[in-house]
Amino acid sequence: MSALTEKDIVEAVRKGRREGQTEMVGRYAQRIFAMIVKQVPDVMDAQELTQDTFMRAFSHIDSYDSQQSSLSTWLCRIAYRLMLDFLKRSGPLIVPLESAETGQKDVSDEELEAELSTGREERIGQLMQMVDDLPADEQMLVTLYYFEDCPLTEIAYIMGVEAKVLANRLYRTRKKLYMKLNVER
Amino acid sequence: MNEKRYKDTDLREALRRKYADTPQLPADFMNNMERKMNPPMIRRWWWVAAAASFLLIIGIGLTMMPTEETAPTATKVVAKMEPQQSPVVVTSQEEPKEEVASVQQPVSKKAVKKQAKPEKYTPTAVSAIHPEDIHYASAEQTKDTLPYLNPARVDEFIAKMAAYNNVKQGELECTQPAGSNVVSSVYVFPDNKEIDVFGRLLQVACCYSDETPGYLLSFSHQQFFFELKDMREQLQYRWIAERVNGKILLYGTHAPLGTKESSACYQEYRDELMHIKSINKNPREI
Repeated sequence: MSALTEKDIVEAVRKGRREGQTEMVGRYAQRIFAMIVKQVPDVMDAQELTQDTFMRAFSHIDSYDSQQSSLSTWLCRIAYRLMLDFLKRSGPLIVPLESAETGQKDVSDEELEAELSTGREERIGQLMQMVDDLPADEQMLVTLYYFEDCPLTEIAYIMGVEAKVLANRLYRTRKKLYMKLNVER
Repeated sequence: MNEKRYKDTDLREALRRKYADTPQLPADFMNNMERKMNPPMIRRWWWVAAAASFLLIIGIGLTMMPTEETAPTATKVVAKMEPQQSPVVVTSQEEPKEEVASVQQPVSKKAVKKQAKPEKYTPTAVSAIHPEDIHYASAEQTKDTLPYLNPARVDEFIAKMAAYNNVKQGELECTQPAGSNVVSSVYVFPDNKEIDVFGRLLQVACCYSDETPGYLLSFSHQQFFFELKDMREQLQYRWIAERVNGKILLYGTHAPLGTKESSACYQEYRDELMHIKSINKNPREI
């Protein structure tokens, strides 16, 4: 059964065959769950959202386009939307005011990279804290970009924004972390 | 697209440490997922089974239904009864009229004629109806079957009502002409809702058919007037009630048919009750 290709799985799910669905869940559930649980700390909620992701995937399999993305990326996109909806229901999404401050001073990519690549334990500890304070979408962005090494185009697809816009957002997020590090120092 | 990858090693390391202990997918995830995937199938089968059972029950019901031979339906019973009922209804009423019949029952003219034929009239059937069985409001009442109801019973009722409410019969001081056989009585009731004299008098009047000889009923909030003739006893009856000074003056009289009655006696009593000097010195016919 594990010899099934992604195309086979999609075809089987389209035909409503149980083995296709089971294979899809078995192959991608861990990744989807891992992505969700980083934003939704409650394991039960994360599990529920993972299940919902697959149920929605089964019912919307006809909208999947293999030319546009891989199956796992498509599943991540569904999971991301469900997760955002869940977070909106759970509580208001807070947009911190300091995001306006980041535009006050231009910082070059090199300067940012140097500041975020010191190798100092203290800096790593500070960044661990700061990531938690980021809004959900920025947290997702840095997680997918740095932790899962996803290319920006893929992240853009998952998050439903254009790659260029996402690149700007990544810059702003890095700058925000840089500014915070400098303030704390 | 050649995108630049930022190293940002501190951030990468921070995220790696942060998510190092990311919880794993629970072991029962697949079972839960299976359960979530199964219900729609189960539900579909359940509906199919329910629909099949329903159809089966209907099928059994249809096969178990009694056939026409074994049990005639209600409509058949009615159809059988109709020819017997129709002549009774038509002939027991007044003279049969085609127009009336056509309004009551939209049937063919031939059928109407057949129903309205006078030879269908059966005296035995009419005589079988006992007067005591007939209610005053019954549609079965006809001139031929009009029961005799003694008008004197109105007087009896008034006397009982007066006794029950401790109302004594008034004394008529006026003098009737010598040799007069007019019998009059007068009562003064309190005008309240408990006694409701007007209402009770109306009830009594309604016991008599408006086809009773000499029937005349007239009433308003202020006055009540009722007349009857007793053809068996050859008497004429009259009752007058009127609201006077917060009381109800009830005057009843009866005399042999054709007797000319004077209103003087009643008017004198009425004037006295109203504390006015009578201006009716000359007796008049009511």
